[in-house]
Amino acid sequence: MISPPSITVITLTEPAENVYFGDLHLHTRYSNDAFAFGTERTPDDAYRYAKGEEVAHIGGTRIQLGTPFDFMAVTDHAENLGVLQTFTDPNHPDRDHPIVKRANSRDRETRLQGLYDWSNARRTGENMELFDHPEVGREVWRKIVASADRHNAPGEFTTFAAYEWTVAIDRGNLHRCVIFEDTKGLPMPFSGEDSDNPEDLWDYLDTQRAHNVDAVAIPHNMNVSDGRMFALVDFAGEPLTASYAVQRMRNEPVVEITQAKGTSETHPVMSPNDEFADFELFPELLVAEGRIGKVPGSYVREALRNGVRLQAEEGYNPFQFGFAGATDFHSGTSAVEENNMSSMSGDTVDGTLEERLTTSTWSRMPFQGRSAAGLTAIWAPENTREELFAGIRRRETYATTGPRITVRFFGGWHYDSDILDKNDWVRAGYAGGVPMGGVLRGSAHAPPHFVVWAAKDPKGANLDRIQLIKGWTDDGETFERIYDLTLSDGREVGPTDKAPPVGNTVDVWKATYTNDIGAATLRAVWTDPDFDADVPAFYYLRVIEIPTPRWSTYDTAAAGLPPRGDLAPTLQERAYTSPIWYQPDE
Amino acid sequence: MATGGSRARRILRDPLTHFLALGALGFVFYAIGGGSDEARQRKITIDHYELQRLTALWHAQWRRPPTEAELSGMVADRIREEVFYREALALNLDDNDALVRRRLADKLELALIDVVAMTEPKEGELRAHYNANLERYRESAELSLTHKFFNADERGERAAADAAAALERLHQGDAVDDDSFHASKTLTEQSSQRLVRVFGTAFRDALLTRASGPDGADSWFGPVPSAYGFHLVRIDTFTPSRQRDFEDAREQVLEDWRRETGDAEEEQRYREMLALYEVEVAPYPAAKSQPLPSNTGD
Repeated sequence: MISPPSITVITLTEPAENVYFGDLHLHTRYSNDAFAFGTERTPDDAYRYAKGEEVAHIGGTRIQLGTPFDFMAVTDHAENLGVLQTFTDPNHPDRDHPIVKRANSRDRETRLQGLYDWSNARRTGENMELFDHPEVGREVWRKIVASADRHNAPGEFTTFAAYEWTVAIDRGNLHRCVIFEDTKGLPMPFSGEDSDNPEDLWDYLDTQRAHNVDAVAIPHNMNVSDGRMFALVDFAGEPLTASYAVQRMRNEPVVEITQAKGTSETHPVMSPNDEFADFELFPELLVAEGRIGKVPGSYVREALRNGVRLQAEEGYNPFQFGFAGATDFHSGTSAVEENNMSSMSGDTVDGTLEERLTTSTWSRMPFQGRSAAGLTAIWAPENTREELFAGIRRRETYATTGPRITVRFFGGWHYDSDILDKNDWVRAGYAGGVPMGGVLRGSAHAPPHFVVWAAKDPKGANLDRIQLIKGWTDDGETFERIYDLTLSDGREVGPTDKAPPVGNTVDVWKATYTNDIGAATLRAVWTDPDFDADVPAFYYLRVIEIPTPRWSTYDTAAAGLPPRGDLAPTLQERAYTSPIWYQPDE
Repeated sequence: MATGGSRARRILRDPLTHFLALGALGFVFYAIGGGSDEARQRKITIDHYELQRLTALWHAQWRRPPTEAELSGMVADRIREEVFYREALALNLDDNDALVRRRLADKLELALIDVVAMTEPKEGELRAHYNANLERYRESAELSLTHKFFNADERGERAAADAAAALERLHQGDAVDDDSFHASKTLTEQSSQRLVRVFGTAFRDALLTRASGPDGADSWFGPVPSAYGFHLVRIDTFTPSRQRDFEDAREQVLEDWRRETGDAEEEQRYREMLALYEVEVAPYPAAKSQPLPSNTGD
């Protein structure tokens, strides 16, 4: 085992002037499940769509992103990478095999059966010779990397070579997307076939790093991990250690807090006083026939709380991560905009309005509850692989549920109360403290100051409020509290935690809203009134939009139908910033 | 082709492959010829092309050329493989063997991919592709600008009037008291797309109109509305949107042409091949609802 170099996170000397938006998690035809869902698109199609080009869609239609992305990573499942799509080859040597024929069907249920055939083969070993083709995986990986390089245009549009490591233990999801900084000297993906232990994945990444190939793993769908993603034991069930924490944070600086299969921020059970906690939840474990997963160990906020507790008790923090957002769509196109959602899962599953409106016969993995969610925002001086990757390493990132909301967040020991009135406030923010993702250290007994400014998506809905979520530890317990920092429409932050709601302008029949309520920008300079210098804490922002129609409501309006009874007709989209931690000096 | 003319010849016996080979693929198999019992031929030649290929294989794996001893080892392996291969063919061991069939199919598929990658379009085809996709080869306009901001959230309905009054003062050379902004007040060489991202569509449109007009750069104008309020703007530099000419875009046009004709050709070939067959599929057994094991993906 080669000892990995330690990661030095370089602090910027120049402010990161720009925020860049993109999707770091999307599947194309090379993912066997996506192919079984009818997805024919290639990484080239995915990148072209992300850049704002029109691409062909089912039924001869064309689709186009409303606002193009700045970056994109295609992340196909590494397990038997690309095998199912070779079954369409009329020269396939096993073309007469019933499994191969089924996978070729244009009939949804028949084609989907290919996925079950593959799963059964993996479980029983029977027919596995149809799927076990590492030579296909090598060729497909070469194509994936070549496509990323073809579309990477420094300064304009950034791509990353990437894949998904796909492992679940007893249906508890441990999936991670692996994002490579560059495409030089890339190894083959380390897949769930190689190991189902995430610590082995980290070893692989450490080894690559020793050979100057840097990558990060981004966990996702903690919400369906059945308590495994943020368990307080390691994979073998042993207590966590300092070296575990260091290795995990070296390899996993950010996690996906929001994506199509739901929100992983927190759950109403864990956060009963959080009126915004009940948002786009997706509690059923994947392919588990309705089994609901354990809540503890499955959500980000609780993990952050446990992290600061371990920091206080043991001196290390295995959960000191920032936030990313993604689609995890399986359609080959990151159609992240609610009013422009063309397909999440794949052409034959939800590619048409008709399919989305009927109760899907595709009942084993219901898609109707899914969100058109998730983008990652990265603060960086310029749009290049190097700078965006460095931004992820610094955790100077935030997640949105789709809108391009701009959010700045600084924490320091002293900011002037009128800092936001100065033209150079961003420079002063960096100079006087740390940006989102940073750690404030000290032994001061004066409370930290926070500077926040959020601006709405220039094409989108106004903002309702900025909230700050604080978590801390004391005497072996952990706590959280939500502060409204600023509210739109002249609503005052009152003595109680509950501010009056912003209102709702949505016409659910027509799927329209107006910006007559809310604010275009919200900002605040805030001092923690409950600061205790002796205990570690974290602070992150949640910026909430006014209510707008959910994608499913745009669908019913387009069809002239009443809004669906089984889904919320409106939603309040949001952004979650990476936390700023307070860590007392030893 | 080097792993045995004999194997490739098996492909050629297949009427389907004939169809392909006679069409677009003809030249791929240029090196192959000879009688039907060549498998029995007692001569094995490792020519310098084959040596080059072996060296390249080694290089791909180890990132350095092989030593002479390493190359000799590869050659010995290669000869061994060829001997066993020809003897196996002579014994008809290839009949209906799944592994052999798959390797052949893989090989043909790779050849197909290479054909598309190597195809050189006629100049006219490439130009036609460029002309049919002009938008794709257009460079966005770029602007550098300085702006003053009047926050609509804070000034309410006065914001536009405040901005207009401030414009007068700017024109007289006086200082103005504007509001701070969540993003930068000076932007350098930003694409018009980026302006949409930061300020919204109306702002971008107003600036492009102004920049293309007679008053262009270097003087303050406004108020320009954005998603956040009103702005007074001075355009410092402006590079108009430019249609890249064909020569400039040639490399990208060629790549796009290859990708798109490749896709179309693949589909076209499939249709043609499929037409050669009568396809009969037995009714499927009813698909049972069965629980999926974990690790299915998604």
